[in-house]
Amino acid sequence: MSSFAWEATFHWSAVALYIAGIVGIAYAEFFNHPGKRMGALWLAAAGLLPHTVALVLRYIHVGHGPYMMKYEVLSSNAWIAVVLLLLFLFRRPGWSPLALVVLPVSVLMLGFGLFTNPEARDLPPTLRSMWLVFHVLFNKLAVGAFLLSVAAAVIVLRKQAGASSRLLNRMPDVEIVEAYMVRFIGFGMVFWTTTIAAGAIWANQSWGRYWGWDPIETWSLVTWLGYVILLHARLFFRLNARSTAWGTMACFILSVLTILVFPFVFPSMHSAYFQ
Amino acid sequence: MQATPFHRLKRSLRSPAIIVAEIVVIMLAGVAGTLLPQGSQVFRSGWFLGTVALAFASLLIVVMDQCRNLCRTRPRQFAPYGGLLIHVGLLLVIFAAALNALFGAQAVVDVMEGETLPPTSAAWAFQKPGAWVGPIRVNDSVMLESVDARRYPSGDLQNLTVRLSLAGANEGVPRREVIPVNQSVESSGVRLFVGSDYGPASLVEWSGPSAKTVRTAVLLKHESGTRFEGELAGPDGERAYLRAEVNPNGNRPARVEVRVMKESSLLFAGVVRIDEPLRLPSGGSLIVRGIPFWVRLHASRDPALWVIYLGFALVILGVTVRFAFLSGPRVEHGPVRASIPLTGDKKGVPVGVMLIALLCVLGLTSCKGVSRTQARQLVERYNTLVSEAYRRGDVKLVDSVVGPNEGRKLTGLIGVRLDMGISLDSKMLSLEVLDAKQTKDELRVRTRERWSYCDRRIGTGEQVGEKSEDAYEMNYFFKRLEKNWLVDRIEFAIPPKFEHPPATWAVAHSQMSGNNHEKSGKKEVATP
Repeated sequence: MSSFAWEATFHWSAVALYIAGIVGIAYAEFFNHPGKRMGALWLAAAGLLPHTVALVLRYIHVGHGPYMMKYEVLSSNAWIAVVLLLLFLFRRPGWSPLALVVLPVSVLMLGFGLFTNPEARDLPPTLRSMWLVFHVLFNKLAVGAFLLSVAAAVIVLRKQAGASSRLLNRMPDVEIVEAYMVRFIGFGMVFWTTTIAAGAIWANQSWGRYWGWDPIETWSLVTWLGYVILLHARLFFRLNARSTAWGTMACFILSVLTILVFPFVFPSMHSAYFQ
Repeated sequence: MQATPFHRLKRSLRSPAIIVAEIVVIMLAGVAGTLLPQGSQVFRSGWFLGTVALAFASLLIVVMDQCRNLCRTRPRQFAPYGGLLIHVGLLLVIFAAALNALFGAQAVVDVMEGETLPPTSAAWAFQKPGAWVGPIRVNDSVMLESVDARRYPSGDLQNLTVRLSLAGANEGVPRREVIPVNQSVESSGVRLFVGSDYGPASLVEWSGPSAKTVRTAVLLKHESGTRFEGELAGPDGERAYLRAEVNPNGNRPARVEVRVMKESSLLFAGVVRIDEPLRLPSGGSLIVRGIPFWVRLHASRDPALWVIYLGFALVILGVTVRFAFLSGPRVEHGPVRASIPLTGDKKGVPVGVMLIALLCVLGLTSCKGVSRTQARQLVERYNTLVSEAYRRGDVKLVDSVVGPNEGRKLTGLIGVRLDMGISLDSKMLSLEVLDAKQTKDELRVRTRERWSYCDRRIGTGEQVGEKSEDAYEMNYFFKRLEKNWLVDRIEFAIPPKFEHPPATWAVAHSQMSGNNHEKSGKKEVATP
C-alpha cells in the first residue's frame, strides 16, 4: 500500500472510533447511563492512536509539519481539538456533553480534509523556521480552545432558552458553564496571542518587518480584538450569559474566517498555507 | 472641587465606553483595510493613527490606575497582575511601532554575483526611511560573492543561500558571511538578509546600426517553474525579450532565449550563447557576455525591535496569568477555578447574533460567483497574452491563462506561423461581455469583439497580405484549476463576419494535423 493509502486507512479508523465515542457519550447522557461515560471517552481516546499514526506518516511522507495542504491542516486541527477536549473531560467527566459539540466538529474537519487533494507540496525556504512551528502549533491550540468555548456556549444558550433534559440538568449551573466558556476563551487568547507574536518574529526574520498589514495577519488581529471586545464588554457592561455566548460564537466565526476562509479569498503572504 | 479639563479628558479616556469604542474602531479599520479596494490606505490614515494614539493614551491611564490600585490593595492572587501585564505589553507594542515608524528604515537592492555595494546610502535602489531619520547606510562595502539556489523538481525554490563579503574602510581582511533565507547578518546596526527573489542576470551588449552600444544587466525574474524572464530596450527603438531556464541544481544557465522586436514586428527569435554574437537584420548585433545570478538584498534598521518583543512577551505572560490563576467556588469534582467576574442580569442586545448575521453576509459575499467585470478581466487578460504570444512567436507567454487543450492548439498555431516566417500583429478594438455563466468549475463567457489584424514577416517587419478588421461573437469556456480560471476552449457563438478578405496565408492552416480551426478567419478557434 502507498503511504497515502496507509494514512487514509488510519484516518478513517480514527473517524470510526470518534463516531463510536460520540454514539457512546450520547447513549450515556441521553439514556441516563453515567457509568458508560468513561467507556465512551476511552473509545474516543482510542481514536487518537490511529489519528496520531496518520499524522506521523504524513510528516514522514512530506518532510514537514501540517502547514500547507487542507488535508493535513484540518486533520491536525481536529487532532488538537480532540486532545484538548479529552484532557478536560478526563479531569471533569461530568462535562461530557461538550464532546457532543467538539467531536462532531472534529469528525467533520477530518472528513472534509480527507476529501481534499492530499498531494504533497514542496516547502518553500521561508517556511523553514522554528518560529513557524510555534506559529502553527499555537494557532491549532487556539482553535481547539475556542471550539471548546463554543461547545460551552451552546450549552449556555440551551439552558438559557429554558430547555430541559437529563443531559442539561446534569450539567452545572449556567453561571459555572459560562465561567468555563470564558476560561476557554482565555486559554484560546493565550494561544492566539502567541500565534501572532511567533508569526511576527518569523515575519521579521523572513521579510524584515514584524507587521505588514497582510490580510491574514490583519484578520488575526481582528479576531484577537473581537475577543478583547467581548471580554471587555462582559466586564464593563456586565453582559448576561446569553449575550456572552452569542459573542463567543461570533468571535469563533471570526477565527474560522481568518484561518480557513480568507486564505482563499485574499492574496496574502500566507498563500502557501491551506492549499 | 471642580474637575479641570485634564481630569475630564482623563476620565473620558478611561471610561469603558470610550475604551471599547477605540477597540471597535481599530477592529473595523482592520476589516475595511482588507475588504475595501485600496483598503491598505486605511492604516496610514489620520483617523486610524489618531484612534491608535487615543488607545495608547487610554492604556497609559489604565496602567497608571492599575498600578495605583495594586500598590494600595496588594492582592494575594496573581490574576489582577495579569491585566496590568497585558496593558503594559500593549503599550510597549504600540510604542515600539511608533519608534519604528519614526526611526526605523528599510532598503532593498538587487545585486549580482561579483558586484560590490559601496558604503553609501545611494548604493541602495529603494529606501524607506522613518519620518525622523535618514536613509540606510551600511558602513561596510558589501560584495555578493555567490548565490547558491536549489529548486525542487517541480520548479519551486528549495534553498537559497548567499555568500557575502563585508569590508570596512579600515579593516584588512573582509568578513565573509553565509546567509540563507530566514537568517541575517548585522553590519553597523543594519540587518542584512535575503528574501526569495533571485534569478539569472543576462549581461547584454547591444550595438545598433548607428554604432551606439548599450550595455545592460537584465535581471531575469521568476516566471514559472524553472523559467526566468526579462526585457531590455535596444539602441534603436528595438526591445529584446529574454528567457533563461535554471535547472534544479542551481547551475548558471549557459544560454538565453532571445526575441527582438521593433514596435510590433518580430526581428529575431532564437537562442543565444555566452559571447556568441547575434547579427540582427537591422544591422546591429547583440552579445550576451555572461549570466551570473542576482539576488534581492534587504537591509533593515529597527531601533525598537527588542521593545516590541518584550511587549509581546508581557502580553502573553499577562493573558496567561489573567486566566490561569483564578480561584472560585467549589462544585462537582473539584474546584471550579473559572471565577471570571460575575455577569450582571442585563438583558443586553444580542450583539453576537447581529455580528454572526453580519459575518454570514460577509461569508456569502466572499463566496459569490464570477461577476461580469471579472469575466471581462479574464477574457481581456487571455487576449492580451495571446496577442503578444502571436506577435513575439512565443507560446510560453500564455501558459498562465490556458489549460492543456487550448495550450496545445496555440502551440500548433503559433509554431506554424514561425515556420512560415511570419508573425501576427493583432489588436482588440472593442470587447463587450454579453453573458457570463458559472457552473461549479466551469465558466462560460459570451463576448462580442472587434479585432484588427496584420501579418508581418519575421526579420523585416514587412506587412504580409492585407490588414483586416473583423467582428465576432465568441464563447470562452474557462475551467478552474486551484484558484485560477484557465481557458479550456473558445468557439464562435455565431458565424463570424469579416470586413475584409482573409490573408492568403490563412490557407496554410488546413495543412495542420490535429487542429480543426477556422480556415477563413484570423481568429483561430476550433469550430464546434
